[in-house]
Amino acid sequence: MALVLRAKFRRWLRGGDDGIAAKVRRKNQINDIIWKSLPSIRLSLLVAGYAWMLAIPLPNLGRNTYIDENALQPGQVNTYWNWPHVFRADRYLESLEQLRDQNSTNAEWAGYIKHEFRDLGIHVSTQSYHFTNASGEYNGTNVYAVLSSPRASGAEAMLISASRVSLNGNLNLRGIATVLSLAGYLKEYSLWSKDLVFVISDGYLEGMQAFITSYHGADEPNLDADPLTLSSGVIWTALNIDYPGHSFSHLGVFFEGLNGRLPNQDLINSFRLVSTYTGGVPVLLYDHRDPREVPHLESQLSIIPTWLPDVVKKQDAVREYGFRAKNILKHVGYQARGQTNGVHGLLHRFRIDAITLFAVPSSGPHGFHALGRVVESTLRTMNNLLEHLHASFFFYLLVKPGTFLKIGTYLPSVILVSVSMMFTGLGEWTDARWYEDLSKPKATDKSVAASGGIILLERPRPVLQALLIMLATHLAGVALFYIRTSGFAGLHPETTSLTLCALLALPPLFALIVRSSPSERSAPIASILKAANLCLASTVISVTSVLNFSLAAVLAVLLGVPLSYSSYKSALPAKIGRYAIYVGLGLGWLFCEKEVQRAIWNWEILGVWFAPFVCVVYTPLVLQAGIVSLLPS
Amino acid sequence: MRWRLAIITYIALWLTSALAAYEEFHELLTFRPLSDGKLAARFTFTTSLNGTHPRDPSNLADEDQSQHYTVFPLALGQVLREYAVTELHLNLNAGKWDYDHWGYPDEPGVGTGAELWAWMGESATRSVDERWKGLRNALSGQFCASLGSLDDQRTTSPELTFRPEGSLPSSGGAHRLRHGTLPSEHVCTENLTPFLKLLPCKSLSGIASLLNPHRLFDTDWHGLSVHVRYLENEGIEVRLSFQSVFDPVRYTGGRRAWSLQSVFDRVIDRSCPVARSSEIRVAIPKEENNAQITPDFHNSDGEHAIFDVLNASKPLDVAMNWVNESAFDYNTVLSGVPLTHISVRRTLKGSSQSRGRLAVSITNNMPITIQTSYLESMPWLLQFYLHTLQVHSNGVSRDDLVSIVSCIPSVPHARPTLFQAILTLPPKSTLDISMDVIKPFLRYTEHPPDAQRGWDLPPAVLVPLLPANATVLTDHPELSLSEHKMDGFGYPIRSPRRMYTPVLLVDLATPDFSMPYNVIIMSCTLIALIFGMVFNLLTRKFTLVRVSSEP
Amino acid sequence: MANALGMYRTVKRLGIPDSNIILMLADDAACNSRNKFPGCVYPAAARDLDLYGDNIEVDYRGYEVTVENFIRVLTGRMDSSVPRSKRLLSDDRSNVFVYMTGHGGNEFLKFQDNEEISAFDIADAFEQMWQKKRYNEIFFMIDTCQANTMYSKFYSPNILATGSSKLDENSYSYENDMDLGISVIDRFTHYVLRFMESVNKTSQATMQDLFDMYDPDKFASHAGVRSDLFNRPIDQTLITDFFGGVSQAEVLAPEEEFYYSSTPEGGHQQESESFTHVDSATTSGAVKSNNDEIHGYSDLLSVVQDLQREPPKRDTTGLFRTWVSSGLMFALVAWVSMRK
Repeated sequence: MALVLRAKFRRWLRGGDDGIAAKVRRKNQINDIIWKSLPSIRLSLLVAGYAWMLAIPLPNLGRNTYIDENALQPGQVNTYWNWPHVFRADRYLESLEQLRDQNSTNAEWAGYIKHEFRDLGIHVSTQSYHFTNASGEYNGTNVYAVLSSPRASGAEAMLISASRVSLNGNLNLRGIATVLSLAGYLKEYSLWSKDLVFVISDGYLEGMQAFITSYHGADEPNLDADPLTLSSGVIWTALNIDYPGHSFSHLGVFFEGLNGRLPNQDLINSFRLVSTYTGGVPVLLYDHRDPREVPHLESQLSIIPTWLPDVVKKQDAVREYGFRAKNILKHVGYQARGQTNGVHGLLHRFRIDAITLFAVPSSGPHGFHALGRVVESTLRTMNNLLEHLHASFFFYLLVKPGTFLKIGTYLPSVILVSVSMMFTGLGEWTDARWYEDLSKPKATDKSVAASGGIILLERPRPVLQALLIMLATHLAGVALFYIRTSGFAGLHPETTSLTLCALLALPPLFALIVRSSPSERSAPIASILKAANLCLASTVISVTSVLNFSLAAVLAVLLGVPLSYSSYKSALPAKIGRYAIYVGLGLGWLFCEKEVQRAIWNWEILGVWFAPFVCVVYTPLVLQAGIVSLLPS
Repeated sequence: MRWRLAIITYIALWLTSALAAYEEFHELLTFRPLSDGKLAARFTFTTSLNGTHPRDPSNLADEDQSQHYTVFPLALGQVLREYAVTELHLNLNAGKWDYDHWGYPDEPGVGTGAELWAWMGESATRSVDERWKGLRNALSGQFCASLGSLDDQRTTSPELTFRPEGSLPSSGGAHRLRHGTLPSEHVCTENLTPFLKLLPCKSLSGIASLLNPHRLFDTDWHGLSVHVRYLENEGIEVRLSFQSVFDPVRYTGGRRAWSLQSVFDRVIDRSCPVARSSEIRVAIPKEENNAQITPDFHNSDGEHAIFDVLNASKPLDVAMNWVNESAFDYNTVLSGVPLTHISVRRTLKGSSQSRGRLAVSITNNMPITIQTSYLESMPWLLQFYLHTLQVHSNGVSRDDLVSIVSCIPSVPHARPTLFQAILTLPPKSTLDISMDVIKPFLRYTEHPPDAQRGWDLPPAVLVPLLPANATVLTDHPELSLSEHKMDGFGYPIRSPRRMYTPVLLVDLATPDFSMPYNVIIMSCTLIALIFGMVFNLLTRKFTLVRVSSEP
Repeated sequence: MANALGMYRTVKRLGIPDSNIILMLADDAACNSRNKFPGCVYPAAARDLDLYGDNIEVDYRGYEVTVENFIRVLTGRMDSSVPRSKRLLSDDRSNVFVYMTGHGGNEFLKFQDNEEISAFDIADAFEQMWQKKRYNEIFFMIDTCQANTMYSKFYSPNILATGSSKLDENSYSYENDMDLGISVIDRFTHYVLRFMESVNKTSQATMQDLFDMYDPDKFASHAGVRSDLFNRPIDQTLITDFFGGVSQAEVLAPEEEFYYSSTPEGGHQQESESFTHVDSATTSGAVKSNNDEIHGYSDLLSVVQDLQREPPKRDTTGLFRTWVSSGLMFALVAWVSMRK
């Protein structure tokens, strides 16, 4: 019996007696299976993608961080930063507080800091800058000092910076005092292989932006800055110190850079090891404390919904999930918008690996002493580098300090959604080519019976019209961007938003009066448009996923289902309802005034691509789906 | 009768000394406190072989005369004669010379890394290039440095900047210059060891005994150099020199007082018996009158306190102290005016791995117009777009201020760029020169082992030239642009004041040789293949096509 | 790097001049600006012994340390302009000691970051040396991960080989210097060096004594020995056959005394023992001084006397067998001794 079956199976594989015909038949069968199950395939891909995204914070995913570059040797040195240096930092702090209390001007601040650097015997200079954008002007004066390391050629450098304004909005006086005291302390050593560049930048981000672009000779259209009079070599790594409070309990690490660039993970890992083992200071991602460590704040910190029963809420796995999920959400929030939360983010585009150490304000127990030791040891680690941090440690997703996801464990989630969209689009495209010939009698042929006995006829597809519609929406997106960033919009944001919304949302309604094509001889524009729209969106998502995973994930969530299930086969009220949803999805952001302003500021001063991306790519894609739902079938 | 005897004795003594003067060895150590609290020290060991000539390159095919020296370094002499080198300069330096605060160095060759240049006469038997290669390799073995890699990709002949410091013999053919730099070469004990072996007293006695590697290689700047030159009517002179910049403030925690013991961790116990002269000179600061030099000195040339090591009581420990100074105050110095005629900054702008912009800004600190030669001897790792050369003086475009003397473009994988120009610097102004450069792709095998570090580029060299208006010069002797001073033994030091810019690091496009990238490439290929198959299936639909006429 | 320098120091201490030692160092650890103690390389965190000293000659350094150069040194196929100091000038009466260290794996040793030498390469190079009569005997020592695999492919005669760890085993570092921030020396080399410190030129210690000292507990790996190609019993092979320049007395010119005296030999406790031994061997009492110069001289004296008392027991009778041992040493990557 088994033998017979096997022989049969073999024959089936070979294609029976009539080889070619059987092969064609088999191919048809496979094809039919795929075609028939296409809706379920794309649905399962979509579901799998979203489920994977939800699974990312699971406690059993992720692995412990490790140091990839052996030369780093973090935390292997004795530190000699001690109370005399802390005392010096306290003296600096007193003077800085005086400056603050006297409401000193930028120039006075710069003058004081410059004087102190010079007192230490370090070459120092200042740089004044002037930014102009639609919403105003920003002036300031940076102070920078270059400590040429003895014995070294000065072709490489490390940067230590503190911005005058902390990322939480307060003055970063203690950060500046730390940098000043460190400068005096580090000068006593002759073991630096790279020059040390100290930058006290004015303002929050704009000061460093002026400094670093002048340093690299990059042209910034809005910037008018003095040329730098001191120079050093290629900057490899940078530490930014942000210490706004009185003392701190944890050191938070901020690492996302402009346009979603990330620094090499080795830098973060080294810092974590140094901070934990040399400084004795626990490390946080951002300023997000583990709710389990501070029970009285748990309700504030945790993102686990309160309505869940305690049995679930108190589960350790659930709490771990909640903790990790919040870290990831924060990361996505920063990275997707391409914004940085600290001076470090401005440096990544110049191939500088940089992070911000944020001393999380608290009533204790750490202060200058711990911070100085951590920075000293981290600098020694960075000093060990013989070449740029280069291994592919730029793709990672930190779920908590010390645990990360490799690219292979998080990237597929977005790719699955993108693949599902691509399948839907391609399916739509192929479908549009055929129509069922109802006039002819049903065939009795064997092969036809295999495909359901339906005869399909070919028809032309109106590609050009669909593409023109797409082009028009993208052009409208460009116009939207220019109008929204113009000076007028800066003055009257709400009026502009309303007008823009109306201008963009109303014209597509003309699609309603388009007559549906008289015969089935030509494919409906809507289906071609939907196919092209899905293929474009899918490509955008998968390309973005390796550049900026968070942005791709947000796009996958926002575009995945709405674009895949846009439909043109519904009645008029339903059409209008659907369209309204798409308009809300595509243009609703116009009314988040604060976000819009921040995105525009980021674009104008720092060159973050998020604002133009939303206007020129995201909104048009959603509008296209809206137009699909308006068009006749 | 008595006086006759005296005269005879005197003549006899004179004769013996004249015969003994056939070879002479002098040693000199000079200290110069610098304006920013640092201390420049220079050891000079001069051996002269009087009445000799460099080997005539046209006789290279013949057997060489035998060599017998007493104090002249034989190992070096053999190399010089083997390759018939007339003039030779080798510098091995580490650190960055800060011209603005340290002034001109006593030895002009202070570019970071190794620099070797030689003038050689042409010969029919062995070409200059052939001998240059041999010389490189011989010196590489002699001084334990990687000079052998100064191959054709790094050799140029910048005759405008590197003039002979001695004289070139009139006999023999024309003389040719070969010059090469290796900016990433470092200097260490293994270079000092053979250097010391060239000295007649090694490091056992005399001022050479102060050369303690553990201290010398901890200084802010240090470099050793070997100079060989031929002086017409005198002979061949070999000058071995070690120059370093100490930072006493760093050692003492705030004060700039120093002594031999504190900077070298050694004192002089014995003098070198074969040295004709052995001196320590300490520059006396002009402005400050609280500087105190111990032990008391009896000999001075006005600018320096001079200690004669041969006759001084041993152990000799020279020290300098500033009375009533508890901590050195940087604030007064660092804001002061630069100590050199011009200040130069050279940077490589742009962060892209394919192109960039080379920017040089030269500030004339003098109230007169001066000219300077400008040399870029650049490996082909950076290729100049000469047509993009822009010259701005205080923000105004001034193309007339640059006259290009020569420009030999590079040939990838073979030859470096040689760019020489004369710049005119208006008084008290800054000249900004910038030029687009492209960064070529390297072959896979051409990358260094630490490819991601980038490549060190050699320094540019500038030589300030005599101003056109010579009367200013007589009024202000400090404006003199080349140094014509005696070095204490009656030999003129004719060293032009060359200025070296710091080296640059260029970041070239580098393949990632690491494993994860291979994995990524591999998985991308797989995904592309799978996608292709699925795409093929999805965009085609198999239908039955009825063929009307069946056979 | 301290590994190779330790060996360098040992062979030099035992009387082999720099001209017979080829030292290849890929790293500039001593004068790298990252070194907190410039010009020094210490084999222990206690920092009591400076291996770099005042007197060292590195023949190949930095990027010159390549597989190609290494093989060229062994086989002697050099460009004619390469100076003598960079060549291995050995003949069929020379004993060659080869020491290698660095990052390694199964049958390979990494050179720099971008290339590696395989066990087959070395085996072939040794065979070529044998064919070209460039050695009499070779002692090959390697300290790296899975080191024993490196000598497994040898097939030329008269080679004695030893390695620090067997297949699938790592070699571990001995200790970390917390001021330098790196591990300073590997266990295997550390203990070998310690053993060598007790050996002097007149020592009768044999290879067997060295191999007996191997202790897997101390090394944290299983050191191996391969003696099947070696045609002398190893318990009759003196350490100084490879490590010591016993025939020094013949070739030294008087001038060399100066050179000798500048070697940093005095002042180490372990050595004082050996020096007293030397003193007792000399007839003159004049050498009982701590002066470096006389120490050096007494070394020479003792060697001469030693050779006169003990007639050479080599096969070529009646002649001084010139045992010019040439040390050939190779070192790599010193920063990291964490092995994979």
